[in-house]
Amino acid sequence: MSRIGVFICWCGENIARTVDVDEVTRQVAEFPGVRCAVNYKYMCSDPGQAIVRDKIVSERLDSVVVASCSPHMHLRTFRSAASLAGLNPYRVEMANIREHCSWVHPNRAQATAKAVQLIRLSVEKARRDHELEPIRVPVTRRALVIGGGVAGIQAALDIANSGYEVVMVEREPSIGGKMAGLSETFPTLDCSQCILTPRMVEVGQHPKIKLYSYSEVETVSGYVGNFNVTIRQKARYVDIKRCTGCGECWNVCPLKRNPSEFDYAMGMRPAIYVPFPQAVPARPVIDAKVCAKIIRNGCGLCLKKCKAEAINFKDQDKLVEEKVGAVVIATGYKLYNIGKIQDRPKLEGYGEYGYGKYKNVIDSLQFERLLSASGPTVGELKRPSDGAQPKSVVFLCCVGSRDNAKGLPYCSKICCMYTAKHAMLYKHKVHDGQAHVFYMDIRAGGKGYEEFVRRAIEQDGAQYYRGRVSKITEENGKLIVRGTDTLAGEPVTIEADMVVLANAMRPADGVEQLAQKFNVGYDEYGFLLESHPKLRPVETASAGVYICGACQAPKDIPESVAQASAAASKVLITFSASELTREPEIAKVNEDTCAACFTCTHACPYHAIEQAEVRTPRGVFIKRTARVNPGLCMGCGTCVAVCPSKSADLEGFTEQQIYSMVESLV
Amino acid sequence: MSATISQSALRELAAGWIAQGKRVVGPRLIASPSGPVRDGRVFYAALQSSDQLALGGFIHPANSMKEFLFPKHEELYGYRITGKGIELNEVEPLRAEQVLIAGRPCDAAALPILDHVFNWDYKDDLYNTQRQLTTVVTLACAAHDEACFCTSVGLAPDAERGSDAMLFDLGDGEYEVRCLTEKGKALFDGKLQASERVASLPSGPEKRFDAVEVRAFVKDNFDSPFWPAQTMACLGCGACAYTCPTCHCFDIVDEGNIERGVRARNWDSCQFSMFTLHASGHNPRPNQPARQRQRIDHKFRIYPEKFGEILCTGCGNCTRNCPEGIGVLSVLSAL
Amino acid sequence: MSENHAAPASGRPVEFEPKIVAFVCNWCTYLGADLAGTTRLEYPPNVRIIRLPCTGRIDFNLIVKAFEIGADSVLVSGCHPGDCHYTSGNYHARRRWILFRELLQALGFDMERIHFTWISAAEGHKWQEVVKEITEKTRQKGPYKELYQRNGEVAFPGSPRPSTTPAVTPEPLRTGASEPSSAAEQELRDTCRRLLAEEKVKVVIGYGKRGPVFITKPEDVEKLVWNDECLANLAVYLKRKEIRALGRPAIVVKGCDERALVVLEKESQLERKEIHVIGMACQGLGEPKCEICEVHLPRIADEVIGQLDKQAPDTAERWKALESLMALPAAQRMSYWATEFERCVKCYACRQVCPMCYCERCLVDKNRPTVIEPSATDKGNFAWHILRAFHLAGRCIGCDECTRACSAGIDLRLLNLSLAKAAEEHFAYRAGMDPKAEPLIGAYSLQDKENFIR
Repeated sequence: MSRIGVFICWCGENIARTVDVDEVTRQVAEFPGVRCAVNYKYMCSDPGQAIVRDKIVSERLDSVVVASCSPHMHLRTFRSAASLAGLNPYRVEMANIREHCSWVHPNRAQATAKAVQLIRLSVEKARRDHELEPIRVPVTRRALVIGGGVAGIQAALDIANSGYEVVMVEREPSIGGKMAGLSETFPTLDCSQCILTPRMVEVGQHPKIKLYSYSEVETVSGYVGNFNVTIRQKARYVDIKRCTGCGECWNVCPLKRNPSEFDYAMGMRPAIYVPFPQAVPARPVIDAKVCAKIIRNGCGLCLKKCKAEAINFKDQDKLVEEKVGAVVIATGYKLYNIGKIQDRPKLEGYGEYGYGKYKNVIDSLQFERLLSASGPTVGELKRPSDGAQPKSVVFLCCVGSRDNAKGLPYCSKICCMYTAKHAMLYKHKVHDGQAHVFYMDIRAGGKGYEEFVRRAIEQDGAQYYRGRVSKITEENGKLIVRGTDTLAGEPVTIEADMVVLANAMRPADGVEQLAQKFNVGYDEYGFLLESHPKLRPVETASAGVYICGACQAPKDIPESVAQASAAASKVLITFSASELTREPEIAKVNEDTCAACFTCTHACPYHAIEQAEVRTPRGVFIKRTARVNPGLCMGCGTCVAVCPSKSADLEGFTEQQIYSMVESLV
Repeated sequence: MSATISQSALRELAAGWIAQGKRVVGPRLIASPSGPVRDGRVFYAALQSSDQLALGGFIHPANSMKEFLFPKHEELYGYRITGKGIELNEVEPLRAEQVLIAGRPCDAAALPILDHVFNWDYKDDLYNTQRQLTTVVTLACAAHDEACFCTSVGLAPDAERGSDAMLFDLGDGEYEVRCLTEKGKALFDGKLQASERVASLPSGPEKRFDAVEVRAFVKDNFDSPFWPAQTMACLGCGACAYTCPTCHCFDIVDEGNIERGVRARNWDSCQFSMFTLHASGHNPRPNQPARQRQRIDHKFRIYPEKFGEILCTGCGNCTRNCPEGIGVLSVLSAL
Repeated sequence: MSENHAAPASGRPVEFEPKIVAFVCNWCTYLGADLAGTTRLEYPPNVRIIRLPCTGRIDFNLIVKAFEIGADSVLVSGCHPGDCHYTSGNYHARRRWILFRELLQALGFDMERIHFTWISAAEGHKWQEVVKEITEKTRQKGPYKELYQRNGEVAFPGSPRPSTTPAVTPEPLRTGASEPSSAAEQELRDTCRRLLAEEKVKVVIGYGKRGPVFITKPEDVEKLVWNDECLANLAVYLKRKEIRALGRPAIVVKGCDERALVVLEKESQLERKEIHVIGMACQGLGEPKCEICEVHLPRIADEVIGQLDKQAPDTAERWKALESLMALPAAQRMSYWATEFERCVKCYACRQVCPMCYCERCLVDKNRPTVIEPSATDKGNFAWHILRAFHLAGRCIGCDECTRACSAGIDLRLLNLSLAKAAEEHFAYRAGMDPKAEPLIGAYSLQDKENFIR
């Protein structure tokens, strides 16, 4: 027979004012299996917990029910208390007679009756609790960081500087991300590359960071503490260990005019190239789509010139296996494609702005390259069509953002700030130029941000129009921008030499497939899903997988860096225990009765159930069965509901428990 | 000198019994609304009105009469557990006088067998009380089908065992009535017409096997491949046992929760795979051929050795109800 | 609930207090109810919450059990789609709910007593509103008395009334000689003789004169028949150990039976290459399922014997059998099923004859806890048939063997048809037609419709 102890809390007046706790105690004491029922003013206080501990010992209780507030408040508290008294903590249940009873039912008789029944439910549950031990899982103390932008770099450095190895995978030939291509950053107008490249070099040279550049994650298996990752190293055709970075190859390459990815086609690069001078690794890559040697076995000049014998036209993609214990996803963003061709059914382009039609209508990242001192125009502002210095530039905010009709409904957060920055930098370069900004609202919430925007307007004379642009056309070499000024209440037409569009921020290409590999959720825009938007912004539904930076939502550099450190700290928490312990309220399969239909395997959101075999100790095959991996199971119970024979069951919410609870309501 | 009754008078009589509060059970047609997977079938069922009684056009109802004496689910007693201990309470069963009307003689012949079973080592009052309150009126069989084999087990279309009265269809809306016991006489007292008419019946099905030979065969052929050959197609359901008038195995279950419940008995079938499953996991009858062999053995050797009667009345329900056509007759006719 | 039900303070007669059981998920609705408490939003005290980690954990049977123990309404509530703490538990739940509602409607449950909602941790007000509404509505409807109640004879419009002289002939016992050999029957025997002689298979599972036969010797193929009494679905024998022990089987299937093989392979119960499939072209055997058959010609067999010229019927006709049932008001529908299930003796012929029921330990045989009472009572019988029908959702291939086998003459195919219709109308899903299709239960789509979820 059970020996259950029930402890009823007054919670001061919170419960006792409405619920007759003495009456409840009296009735609860009559329940089968209840050895003792007591009430006290504050069960969670030290003396309250002491009562629980003492009764566990003196009455030799085998389960405890605390009737008080929500389990979300104090279940852990009481489990610890029970543990201290020698009772398995998973034999503790709570009945919520405060949030679900005393606080919402003013009638004393009704609230008391309901409290008794709620306690009855918990008594039935506690009666059938099993003693559970936390599950111990070994940990590989190495981290994987996917994405070498500023967020990935920050996370990798934090983890590596704590003494753990980091494997970093970056898709482009160099790390640095979008920040490496920016000119100066708000609100300080720091030179972007000046502050980033030392970090990049640190990553490249760090003894604890293993960098796979020009690589992508191919497959993932395993679970927190024990991931097996296969990485595809794409063929560079250059052996970066032999290459000295002397530059002879790209100087001699005859195919010089290929649009540069780094410059967003504002500049050109050869077929064999280093994306930018400060690249890490500072080693070239051959563009196999244009290289004459690769396509038709011509040329080959670089091979002849290379004294380090680093060029290898027979290079192929390589697959490498790495074992890690935690993963940080920092894949960053891309800009919304303004043109007609979109990758989602509900999106349409903004053809009316003439992007792609008029050479001088460019997007914000392209403008950054034109502004950049190390950019294709060496820091001089030359417009793409004729290289002339634009005397009048129009900036459009919210291109694709905050547009329910044909764009994305969210705000991309950074565009107000960088447009102000663009207006300022433009003025710094073209003293007699005039910047015009069409905006909807100004979002400048960070530290120093509002002051920054005011500087652009008051000191650098940027002209701000609150309104949108309906159409851009070209006449006589000038861009005619037709917009509206809603504050003045009249249309505005500006003849501009150049137009810069602030496109929406979207997650990088391919992030959804990557997320699926890790069982991380993503929203309808592709932004990765955090566990909880306020309290757990860098964790995901998959244990051991963390996210940071723009892949989670639009954000600027300070926030990306902060989140990256946050993700790193989560990784370090994971690594800090000698073993990982996981909550044991997980599923298990009765292998005797399992019919091996594997519906559970199919349904499990975490791919935590495997197809396994039952064999005799001598290895003779008996039957197939489903088997839950205790390292992966998160305890949702979906497998239990779909199992036709109910061979799958969930600890802490077993079939026995739930049915007994329902039946006690007769 | 004989006695007759017209069909309409018989129905009036039945209506009277219903009005008196007796439970009147007889063959009834249940039609299937979505058309024939099985055509409308006849079952022994409680009648709410006498026009529900089906008197012709079928050979044998799909079930047997036993469920009106030995219900498929019967509560034995109830329990309550409180802080003070365990209380038991008797379950008051519904006990009403009942008339089983127009049953088949093979079904009635099973009743004395059940009487034995429920009184040999323990007097089962639940059964006995209802049995005493029951009067059995059978209708002699005017036709048989290929599943019938009453003549192979020592019975006949007009076998009188177990019947309190027997009706004989004279073919023109009149029935000859023979009252065989005091109960039968009391039931029809004053309701019959004197007559000279005596029914003649066809002789019943041909004998298909010799029960004595069967008894010897099952004794000596425990491991014979005969059993798998004849019964491999058995799927292990309870259709044969549950529609059989003589099968009487039951399982006792407790149904309830931590505070209260009932202990009841339910029909059980030796064909279920868990019937002889031991708690250790060992099952001495591990497959259908073993279980089917046991069924025949029990009916034709073990029970006769113990009680002197064959535990089968040749009604043919097992074969008719088996989805795969297996039954006592189809197995034994292969001998 | 009755003992602890408190009487109002005044001397008024005791009003009906609805009993409402709520199954909620821990992360959203439970926290939403907590928030209602923290915000001190008042609502009637009739709800009893059973906390589960996720709506994905909620088996349909819990809803049935709640009604069994006397609940007047049942509420099931969880996280909004996309917000599930376990990413997709609520999507799985939603799919099950869509199907289960159709079954409950076919059985005549009062759907106004079953509520599904999404309530997030931030929606304390919604919890309050929902509880208030459900309590009031249930109070007005009164106690759920119609559950499993019979109220007189239910006649289907246009169906024959029970008559006293049924014009019925019993099915002939199949011990006698069968119809003369047809060309197809001869070809079948020749094929099997060859397969056995060449040891391509060790046993042929086929139809014999009396019932299914298991031929292991070439000379015994004369026992095989092919005629319009070959009703059984022989795929059921592929789950029996004694038969698998005989060696590699060849199995004779009609187009309807063959769909069972597709489902069994999808559920890892057999591998196509381990069996030899002999398909028989079938013009129909006079059963109701034959009128709506679209697979007169088997599609995945290793060889097909016989020819035919049948056209597939109009799709709309497939659900005609349900029309009379669904035209009845709900309480009448329930009365119909209560009358039918009263005859059920729990012989489990329906289960044993079904190829899809292959669990070694059927849920009805599990008694800790007792999910389905094995007794042949109203509760036990309804629970059993609800369970079986629902476990066949998206898996039943419509061979109607269960209906043929039922010793109590219950029209079980109506339940299977109602779920097959639901599967097709909601998910464009037909069991056993596409070997590559995902299972119906165990998978979900973001597009699964949820117009019944508040």
